[in-house]
Amino acid sequence: MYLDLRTLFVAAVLYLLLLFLIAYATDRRWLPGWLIRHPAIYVLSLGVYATTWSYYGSVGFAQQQGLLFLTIYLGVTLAFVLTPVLLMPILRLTRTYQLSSVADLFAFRFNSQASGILVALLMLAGVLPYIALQIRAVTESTVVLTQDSSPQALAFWFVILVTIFTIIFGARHVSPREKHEGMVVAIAFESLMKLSALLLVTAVAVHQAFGGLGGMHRWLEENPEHLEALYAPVQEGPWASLLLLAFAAGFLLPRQFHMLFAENIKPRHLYTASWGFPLFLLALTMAIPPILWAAAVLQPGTPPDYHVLGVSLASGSPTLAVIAYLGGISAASAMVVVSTLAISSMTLNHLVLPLARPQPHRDLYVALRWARRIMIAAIIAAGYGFYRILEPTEGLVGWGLISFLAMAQLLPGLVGLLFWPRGTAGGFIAGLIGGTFVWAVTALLPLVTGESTLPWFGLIQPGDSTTPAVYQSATFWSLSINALLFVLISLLSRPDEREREAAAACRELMPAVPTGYVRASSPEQFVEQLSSVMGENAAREEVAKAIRELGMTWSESRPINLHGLRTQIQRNLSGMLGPVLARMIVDDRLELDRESRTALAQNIRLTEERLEKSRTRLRGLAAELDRLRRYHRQIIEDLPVGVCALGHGARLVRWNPAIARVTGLASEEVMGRRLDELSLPWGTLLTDFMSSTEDHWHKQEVSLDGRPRWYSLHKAAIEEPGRGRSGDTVLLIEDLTDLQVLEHELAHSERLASIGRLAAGVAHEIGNPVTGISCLAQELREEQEPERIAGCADDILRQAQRINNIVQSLVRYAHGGNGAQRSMTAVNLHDTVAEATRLTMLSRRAQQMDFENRVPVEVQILADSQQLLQVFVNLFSNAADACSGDGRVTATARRRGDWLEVMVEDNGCGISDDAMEWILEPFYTTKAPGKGTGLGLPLVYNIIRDFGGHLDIRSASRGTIVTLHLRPAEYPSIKEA
Amino acid sequence: MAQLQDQGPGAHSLLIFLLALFMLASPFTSWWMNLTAPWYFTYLLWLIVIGLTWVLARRLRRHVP
Repeated sequence: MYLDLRTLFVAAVLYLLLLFLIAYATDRRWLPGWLIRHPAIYVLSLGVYATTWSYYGSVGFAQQQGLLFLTIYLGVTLAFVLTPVLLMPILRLTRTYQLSSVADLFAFRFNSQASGILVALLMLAGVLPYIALQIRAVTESTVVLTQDSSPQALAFWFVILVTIFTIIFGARHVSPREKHEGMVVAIAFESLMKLSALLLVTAVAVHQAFGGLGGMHRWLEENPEHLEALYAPVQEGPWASLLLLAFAAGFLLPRQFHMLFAENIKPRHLYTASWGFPLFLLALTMAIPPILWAAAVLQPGTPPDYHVLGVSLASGSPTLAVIAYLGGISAASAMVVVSTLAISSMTLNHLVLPLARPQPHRDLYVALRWARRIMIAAIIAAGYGFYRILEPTEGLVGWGLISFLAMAQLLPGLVGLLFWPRGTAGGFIAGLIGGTFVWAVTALLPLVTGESTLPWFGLIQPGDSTTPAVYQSATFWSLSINALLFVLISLLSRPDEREREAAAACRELMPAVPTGYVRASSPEQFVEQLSSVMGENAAREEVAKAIRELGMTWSESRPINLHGLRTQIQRNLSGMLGPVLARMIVDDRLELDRESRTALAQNIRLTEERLEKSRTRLRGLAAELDRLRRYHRQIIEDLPVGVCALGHGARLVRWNPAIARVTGLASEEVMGRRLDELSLPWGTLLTDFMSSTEDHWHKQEVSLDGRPRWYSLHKAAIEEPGRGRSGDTVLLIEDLTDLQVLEHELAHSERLASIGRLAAGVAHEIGNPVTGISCLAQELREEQEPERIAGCADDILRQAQRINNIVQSLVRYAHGGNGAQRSMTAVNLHDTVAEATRLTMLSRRAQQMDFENRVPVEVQILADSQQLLQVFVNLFSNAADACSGDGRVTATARRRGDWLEVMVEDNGCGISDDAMEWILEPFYTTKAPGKGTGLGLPLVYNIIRDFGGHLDIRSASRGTIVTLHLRPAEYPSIKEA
Repeated sequence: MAQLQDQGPGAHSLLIFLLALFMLASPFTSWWMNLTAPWYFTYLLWLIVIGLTWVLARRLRRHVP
């Protein structure tokens, strides 16, 4: 039974159109999001690994080489077992630095355009014949099913449709960050198609040949030579070499790399793939031996490479044959689509763009999109050209293995990339050239020329180049020479700074902290700088994208954030133009001012950020240091006092939670800003404090939301260990508002209490003039002479004035403690002492005492008059309480240096040593219950401290001297002590 | 600064890798192939490796976005 060519043509075209529909439906979101982003789609899309070589060729491979065919899949499994140490680090690198191909990866690691070019050329050389092989498999499978000698039209239309599909669904985006979901879902569908087709063909063939699995096992028992033929070649064949080649191919083949890393949506899906993809391969390859044995029984008359089609034909079902055929079309088209995409990206970034740089007058995105489309068409056309000249007799396996060996040449470089930072670009290039030379001579040339492998220096065994046996020696020698050259040249050369940085990044170590600041001072300037290379539209779009990704705004001006923006732009450009060109553009246009020193504080912040984000686990001393660092940082974070640190350019590098609470400014808002950029009142307050010569400001009153608050500020220069002053400053802010309010309340209470104590004296003081006024009023009633009447009236007025003076003093005194805003003014000390004396004399005890005011009348001090009055009232009241009937209190003042010493001395009973220890504690009193509040002296202490002064109390068995040290406003006539 | 890769998952995957090498690419492989084991025996060993990788992946998935 044979099929009609037109039937197959229509089926193939319809199938490819179905792929268009699936991809289109995905991109249009007709399919549910959960399905598109399901890890199973990712796993199935990796099935692009299984090409027509696997689908058709595995049966022929198994017939010739027994279980050796399994190495191609077991090797991949071994690579996926190492996902945490091999694939995941590569995925992190590709995602972080926007690397879209193997060539990007190596060009990034070795900071070398030449590395990228070499890798791209090697990939191109390895993949083009492989694409040709897929086209050939399509035509050969058509020949097998139709016996048509030349189905060239089908091959042509296959190529055209696949090219259109790749251009439409594979080149939609220029950035690798935007995934081609439509294409991925279509490729996943293709994997499902080829797996289902193969399993279906197997089930039918086994049933037809053996009547079921039981029959197959009985047949194997009766014909043990078939089982032996399966195992025997393994003993002599290149089992380990093929495992190694497949190990490398599993993730380095351009199509594998593209699907694994460039199209990965979520990193966690890679872990699903670590077991899911090998499971897919296991299911696929489990079908191969049964088909082989079924073919041995059914004798379909097809070449072993096409037994899959042969047994489906033998079933007599055209539908099964078409399904089997479409499975092959799936394998071929998926491979061509993805390989072309991967190779086009590599070729564009490493072969085309270095020659034809982006032009500012062209739209970069449009230019890139068209360049990619042209590359796709050119690569598939080249593959088709190869197909036309390819030796038709070669088996499907040959070109596949050649491609695998080419990929394996990247293994030494990859080991260097992940684990050996000492590896250099020179070493990598030398190794690659050496290994590729051996590969070309031992594997490629014989297949191209049709000559048998030459016995090079007697090391390589002559043999048929189409058999896998030759790959044992070819693999060994090419990789050995490659690795040897890599190591030797690397050790003989030195990596430059950029290479060391990239090596550290590849090993997830912390690269050196960048020095210098970006010269551009705003994102708008970034646009201007980049416009000259990529045109304004693309430059603006790229800057806007980076700003969005970093959560910044266009008004950003902080150098540290602009540095981050520069890095992000470089990464994004790397995804479009390749890492080397991206770095060149950014280095050239977004220059760094490397002469300006990057402050240690700035470095510390960057270092901290990197340590926090780093996935590496520190060990030993490094881990201890990290714990210590965290502990010290936590101390600052948990301090109940606001702390901020200013680094280079007076920019904030530390802003702890307490200061964020005090100021209401979050850390993210202010970090990297200058103090004068902070909102009011903080910007002004902190800038003024920083520019003042004083290191401490006490109780600064700040109006927040119309309400007064009080803060103390302190600052200190930060020293760099071993280097002296770093120029950085630490600034502390204490919120004293609660304390201040409490003090005001206490002062008011004390004032009211002292008014209560004065009440009796007040009554007495007022009583005398009232009595006098009464007497004068009676005299007035009887007086007739105008002069005497006028004299009485004057006397009454004097007495009334006396009462008024007393009342006014009390009112002033009482009103002083209502917490109203105070102002520091020059206050005459003598007058204040006199007023305090008058007030104190109102109390009955004090009336018997002798108060002597020896304070010079000129002395003025900077104080709040009411508070100063309170000080002396409290001191005089205490003195009065301590003195007996002949008590004497003297107030004197003298100058001592910059200070004014005001002494209040009494001849009372003094203060005991025990009491002296507690005398300044609030609510401590030596007086009888109800006589004192214990707040008098603490209040004096607080007031004097607020004035910026201090007090001493000295006491002997007889008398106490309280000395107030105050800052005088004027003291012209006071002699210095 | 001495920094090393996180050894936890790496060490486990290396152990599975070594076990897979022992089963599939060592003299032990030659030994069981000489016994002419059932044709699906290789697939069974392969399935064991996949199973172990699944167990490891299930644990690691939680720590990855």
